[in-house]
Amino acid sequence: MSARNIFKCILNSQKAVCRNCTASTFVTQRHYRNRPSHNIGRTHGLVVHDKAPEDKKKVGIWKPDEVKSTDPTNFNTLNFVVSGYDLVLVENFATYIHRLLIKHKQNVTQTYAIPTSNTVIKKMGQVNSANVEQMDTDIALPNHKRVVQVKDLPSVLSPILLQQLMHSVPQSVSFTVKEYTQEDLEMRFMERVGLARDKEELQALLDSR
Amino acid sequence: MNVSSCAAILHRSLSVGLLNSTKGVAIRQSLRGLTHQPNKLCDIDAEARTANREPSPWKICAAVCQIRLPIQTRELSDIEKKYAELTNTLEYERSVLSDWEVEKNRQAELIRDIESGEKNPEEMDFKVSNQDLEEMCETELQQFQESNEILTTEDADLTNLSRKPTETLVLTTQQKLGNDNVWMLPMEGWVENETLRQCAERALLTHCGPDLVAQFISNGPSGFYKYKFPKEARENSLVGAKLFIYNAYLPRIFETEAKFHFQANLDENKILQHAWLSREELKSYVKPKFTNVIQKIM
Repeated sequence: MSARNIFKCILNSQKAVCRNCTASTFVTQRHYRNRPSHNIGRTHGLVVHDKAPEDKKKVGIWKPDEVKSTDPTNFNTLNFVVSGYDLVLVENFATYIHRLLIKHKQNVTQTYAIPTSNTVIKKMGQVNSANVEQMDTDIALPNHKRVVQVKDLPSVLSPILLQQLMHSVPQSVSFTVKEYTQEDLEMRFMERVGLARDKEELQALLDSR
Repeated sequence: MNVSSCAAILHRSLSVGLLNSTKGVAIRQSLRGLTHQPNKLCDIDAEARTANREPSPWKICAAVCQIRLPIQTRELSDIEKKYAELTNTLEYERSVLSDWEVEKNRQAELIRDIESGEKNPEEMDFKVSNQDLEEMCETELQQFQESNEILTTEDADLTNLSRKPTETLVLTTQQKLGNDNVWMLPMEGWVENETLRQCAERALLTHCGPDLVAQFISNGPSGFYKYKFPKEARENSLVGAKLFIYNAYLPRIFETEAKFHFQANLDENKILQHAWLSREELKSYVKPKFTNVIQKIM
């Protein structure tokens, strides 16, 4: 009892009890079950909430997410691109960025991988021995890329995050922060060959008229 | 900003707006600013605010803390080395043979059987064994390591940007303040109608020239330092200076040479020397309170 009096949550007076307080044993919302005013204002199971028409999922053409931010003090959708030749380090750093952003309660919309590109290094002047099954004289250096996409990053938080990330980049890994554009979206999709062909035919028909 | 002053400002801006419109003068720009309540913006008449204020005895300056991040990873400490060895041996002991190793063992057994006569030489189904391939790779690695030297950097030259590749470096310049030659960050005094970040960028331009591409990461400063002028140097009732420090990061330059000379646009009257200093070296050049401030934002 005395504990409750001492550790009364200040926010209680503003009708919003913080999550920590309700979880702890010190302060609870008091229900006054023996009083006639018990359960006053309770509407559980009585009020029917209509779902807003935007929430109802329509089956139709998929629309990409908004790139602009909700607040002018936030950044537009940003892409944190991590790239390097060592897959383990790249993936670990990408997960580190993801978890850091989650800890700061940021809105991480997507994390995806971009197909790896190989740079082949051919060595000049190799002596061709009689041995046919000589080992390959080409070196293939892969460039792995992982992307973490954040929406509505506050401009107040971004320098702190960037500093921490820049100081903790592992060896052989490079990371950049870019704005998310239409090209970034379209890069992920394969070419629709059949559709392109049909369009060409249609165009040819229209032109011939 | 309390309610009464807010109301006063509104009133003033309204009346001035009316007067201006009748005289045909351009309307004052009103700025948006943050109130003491979080996440609320309001319109502030900045000029009315500054007109009321008494001249402050502090000179406002912005400084650039240019940072070169480390080029190489640090060497592991003793504990880290021991732990790395331990985890490697554990991983090795717990691992299973890969396809390559299984094939290698099979080939070795086959060769042994053929040489001892148990099997026919026709049963050899490979031309180059895995063991031979491994040895070829090793010799190639050795050749590569011998032909390419490991870069040794000159740490003693303070103007060399690639010195101390495992540490973060900060640019400090030696400037004349009054009669003393003081080591400090490149800084510029703040001018009216300029943001602090623009002032810091100007400091970067004047001290280092337009060629340098250092990236600022925030509109707000990361550090603050206040110092008083010596009594002889106090002019116009200025007690001292308030320094707002901005972080600027140099891009990663993959140098082919061990030396990379940083071209500083040194104005001889102002700047005498410049140096790229690491955390520990700062203490011996810059004043202790200032080093504390810089070390926190490095």
